[in-house]
Parts: sequence; structure tokens; C-alpha cells
Amino acid sequence: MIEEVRGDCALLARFRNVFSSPAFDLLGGEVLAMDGEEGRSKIRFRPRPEFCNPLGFVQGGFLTAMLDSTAAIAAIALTGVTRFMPTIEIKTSFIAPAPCEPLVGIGQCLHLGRRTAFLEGALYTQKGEQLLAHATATARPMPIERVRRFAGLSP
Amino acid sequence: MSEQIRDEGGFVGEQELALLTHEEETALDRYHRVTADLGNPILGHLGGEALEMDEEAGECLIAFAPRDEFFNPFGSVQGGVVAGMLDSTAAIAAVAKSRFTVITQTLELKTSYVMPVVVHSLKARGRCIRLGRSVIFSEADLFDDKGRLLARASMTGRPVPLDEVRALKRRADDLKRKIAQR
Repeated sequence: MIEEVRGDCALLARFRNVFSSPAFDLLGGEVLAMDGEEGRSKIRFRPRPEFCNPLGFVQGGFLTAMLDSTAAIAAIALTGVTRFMPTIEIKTSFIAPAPCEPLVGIGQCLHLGRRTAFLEGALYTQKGEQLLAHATATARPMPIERVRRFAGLSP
Repeated sequence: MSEQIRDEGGFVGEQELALLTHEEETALDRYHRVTADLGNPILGHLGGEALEMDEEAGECLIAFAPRDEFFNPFGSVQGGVVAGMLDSTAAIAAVAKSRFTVITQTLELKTSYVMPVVVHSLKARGRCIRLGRSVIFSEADLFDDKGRLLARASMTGRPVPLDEVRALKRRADDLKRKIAQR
């Protein structure tokens, strides 16, 4: 069910060098592949038991956070890791309950403009047999140096 | 064709009628039969015409030809009209997936306007992601004649069995009458 994402090792190395996110780490995120030509990403998440609702499924806000990261990284790949993607809008469809076990996100950049990008993300069970959630997002591409300056980090 | 079925088999309920299939009948034929029965004037108004119908995949391809009066002052199709096209397309994909046993009631629709729609020749691809007993998730993409993505929408809906559709329509008519009497 999951389409394979062609990985670009150099791009991935560059991304790991500039991207550090406590939130992404909290989600147990690990970038498996980034495709700079197609604007795609494949990410593994390891949800913690603390993310679960009373029914024992991962709470929707955490799934949205995973999809947000997944979609953004797909667009960052398309920029050749020159821009970050602050999200300005996101909408999630919760298709099936997500078990508290490793999940796989596939991100796709639909359109990358100078001022606006449209992205989407899909979250699957680890083996890809079940689509769990899907999100579409709008983002504002920003040069990495500018984001870092804005955050008070050295460029 | 539906009259023939009534004559041969006596009384046939609306839902069973939709379910009755003929070997030579394609999914697109079934679409036209159900649409002729229930009516879908909005699609015609939007310049919509069904080209492909895939019940197995829950997909459909609809051509749209927006009229001049759908364009906004800066020369592109107004966003609400684009959303209307994608709403219809996403709904038809779900109806196809149900093998024309339900129609959909949209509960929520979200559209991303990727590029301005400036041409009169459009195609929309609908894809039903999940058809549940009480909830439907469906998506639709709008393309120009060169295959460029112009807009994408995702909808959440409710499946309505065909025999419930008439009851809903009666209820809407009653409501309309009550409001008129106030």
C-alpha cells in the first residue's frame, strides 16, 4: 500500500545537520528517506504510551503532529534543504484508530511556490497495510538562515 | 430499462433496483441510471460530465467546463465553485465505491487552492479513501488540460442509503413549506 520513497543520502545528511526539533524527537521521529526531486518523505514514528487516549489509541493531536512533520519534511526535501516550512494551516482526517506501535508517515509536496506551499501526509501502520490518518497542510517556505535568526539561533 | 424490471419482477424497491445489475451494464451505465433516477442538476450546472467510473477502486474521473459567470473579477474560477466541483467529484467516487447503493451527504469539506483556475477545460479525479457504515472519507483533485494540479479537497461525509434519499427530500420540502408559512 505504501509507495516506496526514493532516498537521497546526501540530502538526508544535510537535513540531519540543520534540523533539530525536540517535538520531532518526542514523537520518536526518524527520517528514513527524502526525495528531493519528487518532494517526498518517509518517516518512522514511535508513539509513547503517554500519547494514548483512554481507549489505548494514539490521540489525534499527536497523529496530526506526526503528519505535520512528515508533510513539512517532504517540502523541505524539494527545496534541497534550503528552506524550512512553518505550517500556517493543517487539516486531518482520522481514518482508522492508530495503535500505539511504530507508524510510518509518507509526505508529499503538492506545490512549492515562493510564498506558499501545499503539502500532504499519510500515516500508515508499520507494514503499510492500513491507512490511519491523512492531512493536507499549507505552509510558508522560509530560508533556513532566516528561521534560525528568528529563533535566536546562530545561522 | 427500470420500467422493464418493474414489469418482469413485480414490485422492486428503490434500493434493490439500484443493486440489480446486468452483465452488459458498466459502472458508468449504473452511474447514469442512478443519476437519471435521483437527479443531480448541480453537476450539470457546473458543466460536469462523468468520464470514468471505477467501483473496485472507488475512483471516478469527471470533466468540468466552468461557465463564464463562475469567474471572479481577476479572471479565475471563484473558490466556492472550485470547491463545488471537488465536492461533487469526491462524493461520486464514494457513491461508485458503494456500487451505487448509497449517496453521500457532505459534513465537512476542505479545499487547497494550489493554482488559479483560469481555463475552461478541467478534469477532476475523485478517490474514496474509506467507505464506512456511518462515515465516508473521500478526496478529489482538479487538473487543467495539461495535467497540472490546480486544487485538492478532502471531504468527510455520511452515507445515505438510496431509499432514505426520498424521505430526506420530503423532509426538506416540508421544512421549506413551514418556513414559507411563517
